[in-house]
Amino acid sequence: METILFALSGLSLVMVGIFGILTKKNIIKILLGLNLMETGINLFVVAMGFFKGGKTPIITESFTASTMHFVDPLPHALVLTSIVIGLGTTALALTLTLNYFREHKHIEFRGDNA
Amino acid sequence: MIYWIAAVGIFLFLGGITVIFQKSIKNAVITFGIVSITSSLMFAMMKAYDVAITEASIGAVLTTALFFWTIKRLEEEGYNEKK
Amino acid sequence: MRRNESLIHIAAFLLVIGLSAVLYAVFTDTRPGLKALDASLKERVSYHYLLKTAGNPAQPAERKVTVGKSGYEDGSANIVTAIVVDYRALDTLGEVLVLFAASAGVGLLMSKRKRKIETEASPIVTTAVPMIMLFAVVVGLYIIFHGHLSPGGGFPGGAIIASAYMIQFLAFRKKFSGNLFKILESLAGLGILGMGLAGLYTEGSFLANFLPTGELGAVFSAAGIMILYALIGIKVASELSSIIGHFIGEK
Repeated sequence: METILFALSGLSLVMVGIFGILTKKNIIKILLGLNLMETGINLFVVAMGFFKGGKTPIITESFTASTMHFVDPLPHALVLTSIVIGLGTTALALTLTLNYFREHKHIEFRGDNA
Repeated sequence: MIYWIAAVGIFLFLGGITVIFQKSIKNAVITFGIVSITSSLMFAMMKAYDVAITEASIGAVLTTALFFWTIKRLEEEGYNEKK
Repeated sequence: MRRNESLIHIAAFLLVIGLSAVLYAVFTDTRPGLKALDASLKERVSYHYLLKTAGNPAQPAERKVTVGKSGYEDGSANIVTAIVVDYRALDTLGEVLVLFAASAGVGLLMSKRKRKIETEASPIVTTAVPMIMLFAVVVGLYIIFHGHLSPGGGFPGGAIIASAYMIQFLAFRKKFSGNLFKILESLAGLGILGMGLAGLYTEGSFLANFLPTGELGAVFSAAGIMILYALIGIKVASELSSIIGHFIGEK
């Protein structure tokens, strides 16, 4: 039940992001939608590794049971790299937005102005 | 625990809708920062503390700052939001 | 163009509804077979990562991994760090390469802007910011060098150091020369490649862990992981600082 709730809250963000990308006109709004979608997908991927009663995957002195009680650590490692790549691509897209404004004097590519 | 998860999930969903349907760009960027830090809380609820630290330091701080600098430079070059 | 606007909204809404219906069908499937959510940990890829037996899969299954023992194939107490830097280090190398490409693209496309007349920062800000910067740099270094014991590592630590650079710029309007970041970043990249080639020479596979692992849970354990994560932290910090410097970008 907990896993489904975590996955659903990630997927709801993905849906909101897709709707924003498809309907908005402002480029900065579209980039915000893309970032929302990325956050939602990260939440979903980490939720796939969660199960109820799982411990955090760090071996400490107070933890004496088997390591099979940990949550799945592989999605954490994948999402860790995904967040950093997301910042890099967002910075590149914002730079392209600045160049687009210098060329066209507006930052909308749908609707009346474009 | 289930109610806390549902409360944070509904907060994330409403925050995402606010980001998309906000008129002003600056308010949308600030709301995106709030959504990002709340998603960091949700990562911590899923026992993914490494991801929570990374999301709080990169997704919530640096991404918001980059968006704000872009808006500032656009306004210096003559961009007007009202038009 | 305005005539089609509501049509676009309706189409997007219908698309979102359809995707939601597909996902609902996936999550509430009751037919026989393996579902998306009920794979146990023994059927997953990370089973051998958790038991630290990826190099020799034939070892007994219920081996317990405890603090204080030595002789494991991977000396990191934090298993996420073990996966990022040791088992899947080639992924991390590619990720650092993508970040370098993004940083180079920002530097290529971003043009400089003219300096505007700006007010000086108040004395309260200029007094408080060096202390905050010192704390931020110390916390970043702590997070980088304890990546194998506690949550954190090279990526968040590098980002915290980059945000210290950002705070410094907002208060003092000083920009370091771009060559410093380039030199640091190239040296760190060469260091990562050198570690990979040394692993290829001694152990027979690229980026293999060839330094002694030590006791699990000690501060100075897992020497290879510590060195690689410190190099990744330097590289991420200099690349993010370079991106921030280009975005501020004054003449």
